[in-house]
Amino acid sequence: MSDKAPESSVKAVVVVVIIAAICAAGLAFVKQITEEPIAEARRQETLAALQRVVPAGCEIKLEGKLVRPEGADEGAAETKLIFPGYDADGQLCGIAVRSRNDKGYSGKILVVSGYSDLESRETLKLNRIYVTEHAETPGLGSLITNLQDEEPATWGTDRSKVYGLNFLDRLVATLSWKVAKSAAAGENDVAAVTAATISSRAVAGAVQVAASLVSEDLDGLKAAFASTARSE
Amino acid sequence: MSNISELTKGLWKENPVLRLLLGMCPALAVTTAVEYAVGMGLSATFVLLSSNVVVASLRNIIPAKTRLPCFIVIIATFVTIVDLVLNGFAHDIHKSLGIFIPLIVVNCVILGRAEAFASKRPVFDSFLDGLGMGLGFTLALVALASVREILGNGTWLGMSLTGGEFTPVLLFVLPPGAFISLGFLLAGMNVIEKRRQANG
Repeated sequence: MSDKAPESSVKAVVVVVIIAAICAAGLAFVKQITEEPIAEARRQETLAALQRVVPAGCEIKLEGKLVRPEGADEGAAETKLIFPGYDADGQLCGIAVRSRNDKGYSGKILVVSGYSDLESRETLKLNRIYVTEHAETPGLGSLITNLQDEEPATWGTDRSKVYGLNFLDRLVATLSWKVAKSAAAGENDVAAVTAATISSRAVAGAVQVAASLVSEDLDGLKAAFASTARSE
Repeated sequence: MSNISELTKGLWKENPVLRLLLGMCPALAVTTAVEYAVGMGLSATFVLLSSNVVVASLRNIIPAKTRLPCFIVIIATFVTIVDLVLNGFAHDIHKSLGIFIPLIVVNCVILGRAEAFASKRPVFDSFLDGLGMGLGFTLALVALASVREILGNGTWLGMSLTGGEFTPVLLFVLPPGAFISLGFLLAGMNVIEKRRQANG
């Protein structure tokens, strides 16, 4: 390491630039190789999550997606993506919505929620939710995803441990959306996960937005998805 | 023989977390469960190993004045490579480790070893140093996480140990529990080290 001024200063800068350039080139190469597998893995993951929240036998069509508000950027905080699910006869049997809330303990949380019994706003059922993306504290906030990869039959009944229970098979019209500590939570309130009230509130917020969207625009969505089904 | 000691010193005598007190942030943050400790430890070991080797092989080229930016660029590159490769080819692992990987860039164990060791020593010694320090970091994290997961959740690596006989002390999973557990671990290390010195 020669330390002679002034050419050593120039050399110092040049070396940093060269190292940075080599690293950038290496990263560009790795990025190119991994781009497609990452995109495919994400697609599969989204589809699997959506499929989980609608009733069995209801097949989600990723291509039939609607964006609300219309024409919005898919990554934006207020954007909701709505996916139709069709049964074997091609009838609309479920709707899955991906919504987002940025008020988690570590910011962004993405949740998909599934709806069935689409006859009317009174019968509309929240089938199940699934948290697809979050950065909550491991072991605390991350418990909002506890057991979500398992079948609901294994969930037990303790809402303070398994957050998904709050949103399993519920009539949308009766949910209060009030998030309370589990001891104080009523039947129609949302019981927060122990020691993770902020994370619980963020997830409930995202689901509430999605549920009210489906409930308020139920007829519009049904009409839009019925026509997509016919045109295919 | 000296090569062996480059490898083993990281495990106990110069354990990065428990003796050098480096990398406290990940050690406190991710040790709520043993599973996370292992994941974080192994990812950091890979980055530490790679950056040590590259820094050691470039040690005669990297100018003294701008060595820190060089180290950071090299470390950040390896971290990003780990992130992309795991995401593309081991998506499930990436899903559970995803939030820790970017943290490795600012893990001062890695920058510290680049600065204090790899920038002055031959490539092979640096390789051993990186491996030893990485494993020492992993061991320390697993030790801390074991205490916290067993006391705070009643499980070890997700397996129930207590069969519901014992009510877990939630405090140990919360941030104060990290500091308390770490304090006792450090005290224990000091006691053992003092005894060893007294006997030796």
